[in-house]
Amino acid sequence: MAIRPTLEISNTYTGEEKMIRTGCPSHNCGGRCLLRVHVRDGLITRIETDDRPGDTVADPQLRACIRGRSYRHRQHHEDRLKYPLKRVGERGSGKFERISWDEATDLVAANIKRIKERYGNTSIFIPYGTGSYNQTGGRWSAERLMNLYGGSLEYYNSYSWACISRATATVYGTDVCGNQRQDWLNSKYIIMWGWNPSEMRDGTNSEYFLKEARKKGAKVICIDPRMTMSAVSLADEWIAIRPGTDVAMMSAMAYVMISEGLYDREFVDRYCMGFDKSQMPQAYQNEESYRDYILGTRDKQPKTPEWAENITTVPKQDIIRIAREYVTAESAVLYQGYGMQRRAYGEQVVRAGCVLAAITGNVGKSGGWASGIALQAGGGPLWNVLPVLENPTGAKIPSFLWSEAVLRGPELTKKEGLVGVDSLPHGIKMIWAVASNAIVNQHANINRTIEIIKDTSRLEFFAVQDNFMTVTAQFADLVLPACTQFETWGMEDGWKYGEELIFQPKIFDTPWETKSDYAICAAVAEKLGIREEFSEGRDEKQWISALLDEYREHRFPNLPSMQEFEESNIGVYSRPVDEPKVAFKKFRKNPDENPLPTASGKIEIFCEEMFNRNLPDEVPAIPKYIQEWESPFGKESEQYPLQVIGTHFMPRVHSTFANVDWNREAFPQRVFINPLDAQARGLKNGQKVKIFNDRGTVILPCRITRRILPGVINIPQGAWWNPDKDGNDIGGSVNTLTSERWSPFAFGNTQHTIMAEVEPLGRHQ
Amino acid sequence: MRSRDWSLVVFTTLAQLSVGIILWFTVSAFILNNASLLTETGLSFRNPILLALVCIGVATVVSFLHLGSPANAPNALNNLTNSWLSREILALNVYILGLCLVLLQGWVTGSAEHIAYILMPLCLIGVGLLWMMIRIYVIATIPAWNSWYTPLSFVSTALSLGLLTLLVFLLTGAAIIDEWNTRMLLLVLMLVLFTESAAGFLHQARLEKLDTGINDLSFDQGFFYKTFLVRMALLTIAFLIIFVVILDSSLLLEYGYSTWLYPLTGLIALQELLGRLLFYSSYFRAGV
Amino acid sequence: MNKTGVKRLAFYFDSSACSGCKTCQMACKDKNNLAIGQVWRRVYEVSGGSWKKQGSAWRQDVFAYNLSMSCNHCEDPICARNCPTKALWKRQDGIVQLDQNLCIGCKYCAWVCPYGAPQYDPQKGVMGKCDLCADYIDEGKNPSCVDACPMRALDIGDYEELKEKYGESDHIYPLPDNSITEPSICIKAHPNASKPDPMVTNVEEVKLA
Ligand SMILES: Nc1nc2c(c(=O)[nH]1)N[C@H]1C(S)=C(S)[C@@H](COP(=O)(O)OP(=O)(O)OC[C@H]3O[C@@H](n4cnc5c(=O)[nH]c(N)nc54)[C@H](O)[C@@H]3O)O[C@H]1N2
Ligand SMILES: Nc1nc2c(c(=O)[nH]1)N[C@H]1C(S)=C(S)[C@@H](COP(=O)(O)OP(=O)(O)OC[C@H]3O[C@@H](n4cnc5c(=O)[nH]c(N)nc54)[C@H](O)[C@@H]3O)O[C@H]1N2
Ligand code: SF4
Ligand code: SF4
Ligand code: SF4
Ligand code: SF4
Ligand code: SF4
Ligand SMILES: [Mo]
Repeated sequence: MAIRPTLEISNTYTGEEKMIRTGCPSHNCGGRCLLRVHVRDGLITRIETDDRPGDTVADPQLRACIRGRSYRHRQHHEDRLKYPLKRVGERGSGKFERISWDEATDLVAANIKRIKERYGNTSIFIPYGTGSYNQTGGRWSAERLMNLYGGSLEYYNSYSWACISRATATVYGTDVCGNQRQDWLNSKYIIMWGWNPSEMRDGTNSEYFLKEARKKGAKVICIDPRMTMSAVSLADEWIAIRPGTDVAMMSAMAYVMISEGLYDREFVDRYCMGFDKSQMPQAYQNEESYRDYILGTRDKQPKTPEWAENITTVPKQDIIRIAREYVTAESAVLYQGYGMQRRAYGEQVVRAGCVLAAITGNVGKSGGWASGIALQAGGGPLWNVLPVLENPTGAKIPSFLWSEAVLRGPELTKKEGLVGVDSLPHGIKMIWAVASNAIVNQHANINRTIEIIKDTSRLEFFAVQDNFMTVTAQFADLVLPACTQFETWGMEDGWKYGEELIFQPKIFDTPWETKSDYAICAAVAEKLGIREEFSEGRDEKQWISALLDEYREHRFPNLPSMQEFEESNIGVYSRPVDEPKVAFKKFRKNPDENPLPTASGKIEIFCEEMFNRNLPDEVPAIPKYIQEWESPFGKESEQYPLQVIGTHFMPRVHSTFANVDWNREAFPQRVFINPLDAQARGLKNGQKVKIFNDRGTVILPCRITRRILPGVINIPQGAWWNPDKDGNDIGGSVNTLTSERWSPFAFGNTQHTIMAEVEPLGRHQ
Repeated sequence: MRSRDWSLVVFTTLAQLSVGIILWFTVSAFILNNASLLTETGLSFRNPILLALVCIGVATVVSFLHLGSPANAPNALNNLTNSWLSREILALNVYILGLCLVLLQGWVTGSAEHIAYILMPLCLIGVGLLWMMIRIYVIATIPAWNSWYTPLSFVSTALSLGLLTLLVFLLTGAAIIDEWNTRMLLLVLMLVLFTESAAGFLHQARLEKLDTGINDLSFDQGFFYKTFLVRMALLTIAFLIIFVVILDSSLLLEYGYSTWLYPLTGLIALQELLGRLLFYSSYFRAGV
Repeated sequence: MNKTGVKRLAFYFDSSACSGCKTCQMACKDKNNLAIGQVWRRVYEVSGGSWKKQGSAWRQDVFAYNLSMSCNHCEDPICARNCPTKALWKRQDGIVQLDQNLCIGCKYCAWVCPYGAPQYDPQKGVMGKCDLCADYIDEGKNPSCVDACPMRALDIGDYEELKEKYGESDHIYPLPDNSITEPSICIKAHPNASKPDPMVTNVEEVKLA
């Protein structure tokens, strides 16, 4: 067994306290880390992290972040849901009564049956929800159940990566375009473009690898409207950029590289398609090439650094310098964060970044980086292996468009991203939200969403399965109390990156009347008469045992067995990365023998599929800067002059942990605003302010900080919406202000693209 | 100022008042007629010893409110070798004991004979207490306190409040005090007040120059600054009242003293309290 | 590594690598079961610089860095010197310990310590302070915060050895003059620590008690 030989760990402990190695509950948090949970008398006494000796770059410790370390206060929170609850007042009135599990599962089963019979399976929806990825937990078992019962309306893409996963594939034909992270140590120049790994991790240890890369001489710059934690601790330089304008800067960088003849001509000639006239595909000979766009051959606007300065606020000298540094570096990484693709036209920035990676010749080489979503070469985390089975309906909508499917389901067509069926005759009639706060709090435009889901004639049945009475759960007809991940069996592999598998033994019995997600679904399956098919005779533990075998077969041949994990209390199996894999290495070696899975087999700067969308202003075939629909350049800015972003916040996983006192103390929810904007509005640091637009009003104390570009404010996403008597959100959820509009090609959420105004809170309030 | 420091405002002010009383009565016992100074020696508020004892007693009780674990209070004497706080607490105890003894002596004997000599050692202990109190606050890590201003302000509180008490005693009591002596005492009070206001301004100027390292803490605006201005105004008014009284014999020998002595007492007491409030409000640490 | 036999235990802190993630703070809170308001290890955000508009470009010289601080177990602990009860005392290996059974809760140590280390616990009526995880040290383990840091920006060891390993300690804003207490901490400065007019900008997060 390939556990580290130096490790001496036993699972017996002196005294009554017991220490259990386990995975930090797999929320959608950006990492996957090891915890050592100390337990006495049914309570956690403290939580520590990975203590494996020999913390190397090849096989580093999986050190938990602030959230893993505070888990005790989430686990033992007094507000945990304890019993099944049935709504007694109006939807959203917050009035519930306790019911039995028998009644609760009856309700779910009866509604599934009724709605299936009356409206068909496509009227049942299990929405996006990322509270648990521990295989037996979360939404997967509900999906499995539904697929065994005729299927449901499924979703595709995600709130996280809608644009980036879709757009990357338009360039490379695949999303697997990232080197293993240890390869960053071979890089000479790293651009963190809208990427903040210190705060959002993006795979446990990303920030640590960058630190080591710098030690080996890499220069790191950060391009972000905010001077992020990463800019402070990982970068040599911070470039402040106006949100939503990155493609302008990227285009100007291309302009510099092209006009100064610095780009990798040989690479472009051999590996790319669509760069210039000579490279256009046969059928599109007369269309605008990338070079045409950059030099302004057709639109008469060369994408010069001056042009970009006006749009981005980045001084042109900086743009020129960074372009030169990037293109002349022996090897360079342009890493794209996901915030800038959670925006209007988020597809463009992804493609523009990939094109820069290509024309600088950084694709397929060690120390380089292909940009885009960059899933790990050589096979990355599988995330979910519990067999959810095929969905017999085949019907799918983009994850973000569920609210449209409730509101005007029958009208939805391909144009709104509906696939698998021609239409949804009744829209969504039932939602079963498991491990999801994305019906209200994490979805856009909360005030609108509430109106949609309050309407019982549209949404006939709404069940929510969670650990807490979340903002979403407050609107449910039925609240199902799920246990936490410490109270069931699970396992997890990395978040996007990593070569490890973490085992999650059951630490506590399920308290009160909570049940595991799996057990809840099994009970519903029982009522639907499909328990056997659902469980295949397995409980959670047996599933994990079987899934470990699955991993052993597909990913880690030396993976310990369930019994070995249990007996050794080792918690984690990891595989050292001594020679990091490089994406597209073979392609680079010989593109004719190893073509990319694109139509041309090459890197597609020109995208045929986008061209054929026939929406050149919104879905251009080559990456272009497009002014966003809410922007400082538009008319809307007269009333709402400030751009609002809602970044992922250190103390929380989205809305998870927002109710944990320790985390709130460490990072109180604030609106972050530049001193110049604060001054113009007469704001004092710490003062309560109103942030508002046509969609709603948020009231929060402000933090005046130089670390944000003037004209931009940040309300970290995930705080719990909490309306006062006037409907103003004093909880500070940025989604009170965000828009339900989606991106044109990927149908992605564009929650970072909004404008608002800030004013001091009047005395009368 | 943090709200929990209220008890310290009260404690230091009352303790300094107590020491001030003993100080001035000792001094005047040497200058004036012993017997007439202590018209009462028993349990009467006309007995300055009792008054000083009550002040320090209340101060001590209030100071307990500042302790998180008063039950552990005996431990406070553990570190006499190093800690000024420990020493202060010892001095406080000795001072209270001394006061009790003197009170007892007067009560039992019923006479104020040799009072100057009896008060002498007590007075020294009081001064020692005052000194230790000062040393507690003169600390390298608290820039606002670590200056000449701390001793000056503590001493002048003792002097002004003590002198004021003496005046009230003398003028409203049976003590025989002549016009000249009264004028002299008032002049001294004026001098103390003048010093306080001059020091106040200088100290304020110094505070405003300190780098607190904290965005929201500055001494040249807001509540702190307004309080400072009010205090200075009060001081000035008190100063002017005394000035007028010194020049006007009719006021000086007024019967009942309701037109100036009581208002003056109130003014000075109030400005001392404000001064102490400002003192604690100016707290910030060097470093983090 | 077993630390017994060490004369002057000290922390190492690499400000240049610190992101301000506060994992160290949370590790400490969890290990010591600290109520809200108690931050035995806390992280200061220091920043400065300004913005200037030139045409449509924004130029800035904004900078920031973080400082993670606990108790520095000073060679000359001003806290212990001034504590009336001797509740604060120095162990052989340099750990400045706090005996809550002796403490009267006078909060004087909190006044005098220039690092904000001792913090009053209103529930218990006594002070609390980082004890360098003395129980872990005695078991030969690292303090909780040190092994928590995702950036590996914290370390522990003998003061002299740390200086050998990491170089002389840098003195950065807003730390007070070392001569006041001779803190047992070896700091690697963030390059931004030499910029003009720095300011602690997260006061409400660090000065809680
Ligand atoms: N404005 C704005 N909005 C955003 C974003 C943004 O950047 N800006 N980001 C978006 C992104 S990227 C994402 S991924 C989404 C995330 O949105 P969600 O997927 O809704 O994520 P959470 O808010 O963490 O909610 C997860 C819920 O699962 C619960 N939970 C945890 N463990 C379990 C379990 O084992 N079982 C069950 N049944 N429940 C459990 C938690 O209590 C929590 O209520 O938010 C999106 N919303
Ligand atoms: N602590 C924490 N970590 C997390 C999560 C969390 O909730 N909390 N969530 C996890 C999940 S599910 C996801 S999907 C990821 C999300 O990771 P990201 O989507 O990358 O995170 P964001 O904070 O939305 O955005 C990253 C940065 O983009 C910047 N930004 C916003 N708009 C623009 C722009 O137009 N241009 C440029 N250049 N920069 C821009 C923001 O200032 C921010 O610093 O994080 C994961 N990690
Ligand atoms: S990154 Fe995620 S898995 Fe790791 S400790 Fe933080 S919350 Fe837990
Ligand atoms: S854990 Fe490390 S990086 Fe995070 S704040 Fe503490 S010292 Fe800094
Ligand atoms: S840091 Fe403060 S509390 Fe700690 S030893 Fe030094 S002076 Fe004492
Ligand atoms: S609060 Fe306790 S530890 Fe601090 S000085 Fe007072 S007695 Fe000593
Ligand atoms: S050494 Fe222990 S007590 Fe001190 S700050 Fe670190 S975790 Fe907290
Ligand atoms: Mo996400």
